[in-house]
Amino acid sequence: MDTEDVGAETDSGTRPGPDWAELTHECLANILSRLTLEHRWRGTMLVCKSWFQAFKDPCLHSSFDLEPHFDSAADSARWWAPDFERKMDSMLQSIVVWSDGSLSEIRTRHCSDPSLLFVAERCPNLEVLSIKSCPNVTDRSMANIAFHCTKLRELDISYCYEISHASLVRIGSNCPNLKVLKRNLMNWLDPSQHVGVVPDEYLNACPQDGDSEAAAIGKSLPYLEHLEIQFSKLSGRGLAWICEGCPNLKYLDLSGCMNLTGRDIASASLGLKDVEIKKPNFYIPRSVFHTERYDHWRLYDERFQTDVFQI
Amino acid sequence: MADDGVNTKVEAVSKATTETIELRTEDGGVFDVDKPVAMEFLILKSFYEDEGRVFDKTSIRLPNVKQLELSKVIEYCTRALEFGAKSAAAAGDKDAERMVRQEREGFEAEFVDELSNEMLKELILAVNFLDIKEMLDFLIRSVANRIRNRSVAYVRQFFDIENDFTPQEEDQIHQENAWAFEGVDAD
Repeated sequence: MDTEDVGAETDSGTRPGPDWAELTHECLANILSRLTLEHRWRGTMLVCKSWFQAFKDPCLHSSFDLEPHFDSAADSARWWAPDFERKMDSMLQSIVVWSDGSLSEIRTRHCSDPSLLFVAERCPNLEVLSIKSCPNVTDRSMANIAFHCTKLRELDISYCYEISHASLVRIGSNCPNLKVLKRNLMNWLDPSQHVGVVPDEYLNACPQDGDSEAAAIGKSLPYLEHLEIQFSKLSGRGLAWICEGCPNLKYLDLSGCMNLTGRDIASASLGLKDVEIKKPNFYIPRSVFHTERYDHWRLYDERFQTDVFQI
Repeated sequence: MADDGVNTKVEAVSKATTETIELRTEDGGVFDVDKPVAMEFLILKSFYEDEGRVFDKTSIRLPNVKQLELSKVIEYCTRALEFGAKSAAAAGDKDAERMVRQEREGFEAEFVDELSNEMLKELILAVNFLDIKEMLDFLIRSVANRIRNRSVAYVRQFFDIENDFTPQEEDQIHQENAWAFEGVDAD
């Protein structure tokens, strides 16, 4: 019987040998892709040189999501320390390099301008940017993000007090796909949950002008569908600007917006169809305010229209 | 069906009229494999289809593949085809679909449980060579499961890999790529 060999001419790339270190790059990258970012980073990067190469494959770095790590623990004072920010910047920059332009999603906290400038330079395909609690991200890097990351559709800059509404205007002008904006502030009515964790100067530096932000949002982000502005100090007028300027809004989180009355909300949102609004809890004594605890007091919302809490 | 003692023959599970292909492994094993099963090996599929070869009585030699691995591969692929057929037959009936799924999961769990680390590695290499996408995916998932959340040292030992970094190189990479949460995890 004739015997033919198969495989001599069909191999592309390196022939798999018995040595695992030389397992085809593709196979290795495939194995690594099944592991979490943390385990890949801590458990496989340093195994050997070829594994390090596989680790750096761009296909493994199209998403950088550390929110599960931040979420699984209570806000920690150590995250607000300068050396954590340095390490976070370093990680983000490495991911940007390894992703080779394929990075489309970043969800992290506590990075700063230098790494964001780098992201703007190298990540034209960025669609999701969630950078909460970044005291050292300013309008400077956000301007570059707006200019270069035009595919942006989701932006979370909650608790970033050095980013002004000017950045929102720039994003609006350059990023036509932006549908989700989260611009939550810390609980300034009762900061007890943040004291001892967030540096006091930062906690107290909470930007004041809710209406300027609202005007910027209403003017620049006409395609917005999801907006969160917890603890904004905007007035009924600001809310009206938002609702007029963002007719596609489907979700609006106004928790903690204590300058709004039920009437403000009802009249401003008249033109919005099928919108889900999380309202602030009106009948809460200031000294014991926590967003979730007094939900049931929303019942009093319509009966006790009170301007007592206007600031 | 001549039986000359050193050969291993794998019987077709389905119809007796199915064409078979003879495969020879590098360590002298000989297998008669049903054509549908053999065509799951993309390396063979392209060998025949892309290059327009005719199925004749030619025996195919598979370098890089040993008897033990090939028999495991044939076992998996044969069952996979069966499950595929059962799935298709159960389509639309949620309970039946669920039963097939559970049966398959049971088979796969048992199949992989019986594999030593060494065998798992050899299988991946063989399946990668033979280019069997579904089985490769299954094996890779299984390896990932075995090394999930293990240390660098464990992974090296598992794959029998020698560390080719110098201590300085290792140190440098570690410095440049610190995991930000190391030592900063919540109390």
